Amino acid sequence: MGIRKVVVFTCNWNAYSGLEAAGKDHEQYPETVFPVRIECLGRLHPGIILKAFEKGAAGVLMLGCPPDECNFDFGFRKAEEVYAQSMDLIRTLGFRDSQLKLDYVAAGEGKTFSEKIIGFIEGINGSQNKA
Amino acid sequence: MSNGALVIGGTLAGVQAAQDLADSGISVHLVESTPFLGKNRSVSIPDHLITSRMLEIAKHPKITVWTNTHVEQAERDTDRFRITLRQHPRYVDLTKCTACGDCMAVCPVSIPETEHKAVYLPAAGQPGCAAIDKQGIPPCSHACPGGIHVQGYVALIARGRFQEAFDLIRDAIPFPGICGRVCMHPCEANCRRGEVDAPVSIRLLKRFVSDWVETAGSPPPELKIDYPPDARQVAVVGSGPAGMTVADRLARFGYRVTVYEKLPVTAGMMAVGIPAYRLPRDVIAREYQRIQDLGVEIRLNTAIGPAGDYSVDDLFDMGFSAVCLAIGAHNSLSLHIPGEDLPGVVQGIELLKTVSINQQLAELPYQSVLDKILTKGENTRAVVLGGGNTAMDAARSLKRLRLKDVRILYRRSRTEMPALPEEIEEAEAEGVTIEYLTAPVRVQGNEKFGVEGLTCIRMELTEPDESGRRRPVPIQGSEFRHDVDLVVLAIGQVPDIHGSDKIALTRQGRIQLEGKSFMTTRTGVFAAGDAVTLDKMAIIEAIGMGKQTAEEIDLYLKGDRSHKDPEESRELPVSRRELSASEKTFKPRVDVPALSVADRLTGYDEVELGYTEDQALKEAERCLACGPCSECMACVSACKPEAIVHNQKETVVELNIGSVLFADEPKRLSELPFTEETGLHIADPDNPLEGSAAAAKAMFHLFAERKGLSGTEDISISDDPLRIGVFVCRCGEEIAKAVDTETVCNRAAAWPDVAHTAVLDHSCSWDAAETIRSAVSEHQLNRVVLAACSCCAVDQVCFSCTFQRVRCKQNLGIFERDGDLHSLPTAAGLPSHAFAFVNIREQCAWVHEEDPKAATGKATALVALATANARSVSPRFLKPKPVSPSVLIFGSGYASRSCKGALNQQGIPAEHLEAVPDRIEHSGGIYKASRNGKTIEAAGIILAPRNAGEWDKLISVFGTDHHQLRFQYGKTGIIARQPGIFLCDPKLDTEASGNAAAARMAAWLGKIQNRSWQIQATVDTDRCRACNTCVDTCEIGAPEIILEGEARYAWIDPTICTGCGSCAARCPSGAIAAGSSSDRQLEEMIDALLS
Repeated sequence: MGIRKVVVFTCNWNAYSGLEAAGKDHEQYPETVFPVRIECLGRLHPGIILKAFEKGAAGVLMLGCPPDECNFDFGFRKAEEVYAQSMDLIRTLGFRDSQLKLDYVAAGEGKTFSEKIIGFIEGINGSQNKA
Repeated sequence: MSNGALVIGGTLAGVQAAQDLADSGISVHLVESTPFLGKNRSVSIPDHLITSRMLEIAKHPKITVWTNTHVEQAERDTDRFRITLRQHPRYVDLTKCTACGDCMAVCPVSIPETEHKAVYLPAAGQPGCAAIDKQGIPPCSHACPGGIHVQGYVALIARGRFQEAFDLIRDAIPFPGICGRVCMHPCEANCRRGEVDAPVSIRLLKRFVSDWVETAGSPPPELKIDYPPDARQVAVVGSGPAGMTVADRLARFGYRVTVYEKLPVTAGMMAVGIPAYRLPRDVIAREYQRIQDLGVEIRLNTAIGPAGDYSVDDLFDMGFSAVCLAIGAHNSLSLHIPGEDLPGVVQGIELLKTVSINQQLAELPYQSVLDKILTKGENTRAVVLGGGNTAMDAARSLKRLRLKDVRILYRRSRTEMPALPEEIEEAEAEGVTIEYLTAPVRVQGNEKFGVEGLTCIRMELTEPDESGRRRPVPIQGSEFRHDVDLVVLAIGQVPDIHGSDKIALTRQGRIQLEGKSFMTTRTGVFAAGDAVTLDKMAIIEAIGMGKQTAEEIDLYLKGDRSHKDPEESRELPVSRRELSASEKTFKPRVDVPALSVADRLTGYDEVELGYTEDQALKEAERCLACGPCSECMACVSACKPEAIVHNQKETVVELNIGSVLFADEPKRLSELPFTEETGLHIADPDNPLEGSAAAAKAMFHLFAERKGLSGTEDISISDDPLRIGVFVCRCGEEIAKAVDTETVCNRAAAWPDVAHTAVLDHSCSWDAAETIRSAVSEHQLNRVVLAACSCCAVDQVCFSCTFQRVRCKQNLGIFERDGDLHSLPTAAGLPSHAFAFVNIREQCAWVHEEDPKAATGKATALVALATANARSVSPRFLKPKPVSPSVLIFGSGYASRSCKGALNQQGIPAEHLEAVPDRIEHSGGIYKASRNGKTIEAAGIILAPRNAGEWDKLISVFGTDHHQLRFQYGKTGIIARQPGIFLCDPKLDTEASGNAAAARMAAWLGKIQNRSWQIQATVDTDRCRACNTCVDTCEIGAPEIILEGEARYAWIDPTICTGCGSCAARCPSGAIAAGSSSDRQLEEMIDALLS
């Protein structure tokens, strides 16, 4: 099995700023992490998330703005709904819960960003070992 | 028409005012006195918010930002101000700096009481380019006639960077080691450390590095001059400091130089006038060798002149294109006293020359001369007449010839003595007696036995005359006699030249120069050094003059008849910055070790021993960094994009301003050439609400000049066939050190549709934009993928944006521009949707720097993602419905009146309705308020409630069954989540909040008139089934269902839509595209990333 890639959807605001800050602060994280930036997590729908799994992603991490700080006010709430729907779908398809996660990073928090990413990957690996 | 509004202060209030004015269509000049916007905030706001705020301003096509700028003059001219702005240089090119920080890493100067260097860039500082804190020329550097960056090498020495320090000195002058020993150091006389305790021992520091380079330094890199095959030849006469500086400079300019020296040794007065115990001959030898290594040829024992080996005519006949006479002043002046011609009266300079040459040459023809002078050997009693360094040198040399009785007579007091104080002290220490206020009257003796005595007279000083000088006058009847055997004249010298070879002399016997040209009365013949000056020159002055002469010779040989005036090119004043209390702490000078007197007099060994490394470091740390920039030029060498410009000049502009706003620190108001009565609108710098209120007042003066933006008009381009250009940025080394950019390009070149690939050094530079532009036309590209640090090609500024990303997009013309300036959709001729950017610096290079292979692989995948994005993009044309500006104001708060007034004054129809309407909704691009079945329309709504009760009532009339109007409560006030609705907070000052709401309304009305809409949602009407999902999803009411004949479909108002894309995610028929990517693009991107 080759290197399994992890797709990280970041919103364009707080989470993307966290991703950028991780770069600026030279916070190293695994190179299997591939960011895809969207305007807001509300932009996602289960089809896009399933597309990533279909293409072989080891996991999908959705990173948005912290609670009540969504740049679009209601986008993060929409993302929570999408997350719940997607989770149902991936379970049905036989993926593990640890492979999909919805989380947030505050702007400029590079360290938090890389910690959350590393934590997510460890979560996938941990559940994989148990299985 | 005026140049718009002037906003003073890049503060929160200042930028708010600037943005409101500019959005409303008024041109703004924003003036900030420091190099960065957003300074001195008392309100704490996260860096990312400040940064994005300031970048919005920096990119706004209607705002010109003037940092480092002061309002110098303001004249009221009827209803206009004629404003003069003076911009102090930043010394960093805003079009090139990439904020990489290399300059800060090498800068040796830490600014006292701050945490930054002399070149610095604060975390949230915008424009995000470094700035150099250079308040003037450091006094030491300014005082140096040789043009050495004195503070620069002192700063480098303090950091232990000795080689760089040496190189900096050697770049300015050819004799660091010589000057390190015998320079009269005007730098130290001007050193501000002297105001605290004692000046920094600058000369000794220079000596230290020149010696360090000899012993511990790396061998100096061989500076090879590439002489052009037709290099012209210049003859220099005299190998002293002036002549050799001319030779050194001209060789560097590419001329072949031959130096003719009359004496059997090189270096002129430095070798024959200065004794070896002060200036060891090996120091001279190694510095002369460096000049000869450049290709300069020295011919010893060759006199030039009518009586010499060659005349000046001969030199021209021999093929020299120019001649420089630097023959020094080797003839002693006469005293004009009786007995001066007796044997036993010698010229000081002859004595020193004899001693020096005697030491330096193997054969000793000069020893017999010495024996003849010292008639009684060690018991010869000597008197030296004069008070300059020659007198000291002669006396100290006589002590080394073991004479027991050596005295110096000087007719003024010690204060007036021209010799260096340390020279005087050392002479006294070595046993030389100095008699002040004593003048010779006559030498006694006879032709046969020579000198027997010297009659002297005591002098007194007059009161200072108009020029401040105190003249010595004899005291009647004070004559007395010294019994002496030797009288040494050291009262000054003149050049050994007589008017000839068509070269005129001055009345004082110096070579006459023509104006500032350094040319003599004979064309092509120049002169420098002691031969042309009335006063004896210090070595460093001779070097300085040599540099100027070389410049003039170069100009002459190039046929340029202009002259360089070094004083004119120095625009900056001498830095006199305030010293802080901690800087004034006493730190004594590090003493330099010296030979004991006993050891000195046994020979000609160097008396001063020089600093050790530790001593030099400690001494250099005493420097106060007056500049504060030291001009060490380390940043220049470190800066890869060549953004540092140390000779940047001030800019002065005149503007015709319609209205002036002041939002800077209140204490700065008094520095301005305004009074409040002249019509200044003042705002608290930390209060954006006041900024908006001031903007409303300025709008009243300027509304007639409003002019909207043209946006970026999307044009159609042919996509058949797709031709994608992939550009990969190295970012200096920042990306390239981890990502193999060539490999990324090579891989991309193999992908379908990729027609061209190229690596760029700095994609945010203008050059890179030009490269992209010409590639677009040469390779007929219709898509551009740029992998750099810029991460989107959308006209927006998000939390992560940087000045360089904004600049990159600006250079490519992706941002909207001011009306008349623009003709093409983007400067590359492509619509903005044809660009796809991806960040491979923060997302690859910097997070995988330890694994270049992985970084390169990931960069390739991200470029594939961006290429997929570009490939599957389809243009979206978003046009808001045209709306005429009109405003409805609701609520009975007092602010409603000031708000209505402020809007009406600027020609915006505003109606105030005290009654709370039944319902307010937004449809068809307009707000509609209805009450009792009657509907009134307006483009925008202002709520001015009297109290919380009315506030609640007003809010309740908005929204749908699903969603209520919501507000964001921030430090800058309450902002409605729905665009086009503004609130006058009843808790705030009614006048200010009313005016502020008016300004923000005017700004919004300006923005919806004609702006670019790129991320807002659009509906594919063919696929839309009018199911209402989007209407229910959007919480700010942007979508609505439209009936058009038989057809029903959704329409999303771009002026309301904020581009989040939630509607697109939920649309069951996939009819909506929103954000920066459509569903199809997202799928293609994921495909590209994961395959």
